[in-house]
Amino acid sequence: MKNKFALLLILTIAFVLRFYRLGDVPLGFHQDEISQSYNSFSILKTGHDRYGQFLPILFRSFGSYQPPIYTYLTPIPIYFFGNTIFAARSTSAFFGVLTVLISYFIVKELVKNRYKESLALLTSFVVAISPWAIHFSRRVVEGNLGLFFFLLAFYFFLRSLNKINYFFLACLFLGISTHAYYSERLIAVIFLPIFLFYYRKCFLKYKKKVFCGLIILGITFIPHLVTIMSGAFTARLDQVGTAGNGILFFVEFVKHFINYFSPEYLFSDAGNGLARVSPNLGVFYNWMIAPFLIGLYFIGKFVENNYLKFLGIFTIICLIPASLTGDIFYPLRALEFFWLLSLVISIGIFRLGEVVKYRLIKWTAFIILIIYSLGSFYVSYFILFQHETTENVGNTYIKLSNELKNYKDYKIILDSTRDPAVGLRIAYFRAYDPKKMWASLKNQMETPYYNSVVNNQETYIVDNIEARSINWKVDRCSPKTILVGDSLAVSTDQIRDHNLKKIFEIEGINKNIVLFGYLTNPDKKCI
Amino acid sequence: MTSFSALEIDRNITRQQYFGEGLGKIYGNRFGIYYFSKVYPRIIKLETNFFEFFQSPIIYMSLFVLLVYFGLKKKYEK
Repeated sequence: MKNKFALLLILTIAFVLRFYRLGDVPLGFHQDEISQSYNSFSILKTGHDRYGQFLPILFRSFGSYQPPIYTYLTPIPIYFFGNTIFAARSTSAFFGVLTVLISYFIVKELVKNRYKESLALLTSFVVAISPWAIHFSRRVVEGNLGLFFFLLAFYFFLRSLNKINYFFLACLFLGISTHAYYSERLIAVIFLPIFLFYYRKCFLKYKKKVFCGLIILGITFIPHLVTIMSGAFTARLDQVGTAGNGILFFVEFVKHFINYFSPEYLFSDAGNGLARVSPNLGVFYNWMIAPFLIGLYFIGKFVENNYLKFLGIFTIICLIPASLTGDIFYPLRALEFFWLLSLVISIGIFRLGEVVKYRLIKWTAFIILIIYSLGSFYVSYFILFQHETTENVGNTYIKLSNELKNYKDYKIILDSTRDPAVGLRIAYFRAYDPKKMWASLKNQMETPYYNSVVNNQETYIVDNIEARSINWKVDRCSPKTILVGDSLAVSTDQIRDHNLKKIFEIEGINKNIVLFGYLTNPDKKCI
Repeated sequence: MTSFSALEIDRNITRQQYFGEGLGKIYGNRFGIYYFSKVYPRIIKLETNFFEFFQSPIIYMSLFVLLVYFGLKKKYEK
């Protein structure tokens, strides 16, 4: 009863950390997020994506392809909460909470009987409060779903060692995980043969059932077969993969692999790009390096002998997809690895707790560390993060969407040179009819939908707004037209030469002017 | 201070100014201005100094491998 209450408390904390101000923080709406969200809205309304493709296997998105699971699950929150940022992100947040729950059940399988309840609770708590787990649960990112489905599969694989019927479910969820995110495709195909081989004594007794499980997995792979020859299947790897061949490639791979163990990235500062965490914050909190080192030493004491070596192999497998890409450190592609590190950290915390005999000291220290962790997370995530990423994620374009409602009688050219998603962002918030969207993106469907090369020069037309690069030759002479863009889109020389009249400004969160609206003046220079 | 690289000194000073003058003014909160200009940059400096010990992959990978090795050795000796 006490443990159930503790688990419920942990899930509540996880829920609060993932859903609190979900629509406001992180600020803005990145182009990958908006692409998923509008496609989900379009699927909800028509069953087609924004290009008019019926139930796609992969969703085309600004020159790339997005795995489909997230997009197919998000129509549910959009139906209930409308076209909001909260609705789009809530899928990820919901699965983030479920990841905390599944962590509890996995650790109960992995560790020795004597410690399993305490360590399972502790690991789920570490996952609940860790920056990596919170951050990726608050973004529209497929990786978070990939992690959940993979962990669910992993749990059933562990259970299948004692009860073979779980093998079917394990294969089903492993297959689903490959449709959730790119990393899981590679992890799944390496993980399964190694797992079967490592525990062959268990599986050789049930050859028929194993075969049936593999058939289930094979069925889930059928959609991949449809796209595998088109180039769309590997388009993302082509974009992000490590350059070079032979020895150069191998050296880069090893360098990237080792980077994922860097204490600086893990516990101090993982950078502040979209796929990292917030400023001055590692993947874990800085104090966690101590329990991490202790956990490494004591891992053998707590984990069941049967699983110990396999966890070592699993750690290596988890890092292969991330190390194959050109980025030095990209946490989104290595979420399974961070989950494993959370287990190591939990073992370290538990061991420290064993050493300290006085309950009062133990609990006081623990509570102080939790308050410190959540405080530093708040400062980094809820204060600094929004000020350091505002313009990149297009928050001001959300404000712009409301401002433009005052200019319904004008033609509006919205410069999309530096952010191809500006038009789609407005379309999502205005719940713009997907069928009208298909018409404006018709030229995108002239080539096959699944293709290795996709033209990402798209013009989005939403009511009276055209989101594209400004064509000065034509647009400056267009009557009753407002040109909207940032300071790079319209220079002071252009304002003077074309007699443009500033009619509005949109302020960013740092109190600087980010976007400007200029009315054209064709009478003066176009006659 | 001497243990910082030029880049890090630059980064911290810039951020300190940014925190104090930029964020402090936006929020208009005396405690916030003090925290962001005086306390927070020091925490970051302290943390940066500490993690400089672990910057070399040879050091941290050796440390991790040795910890696992001796931990497992102790386990199997029992």
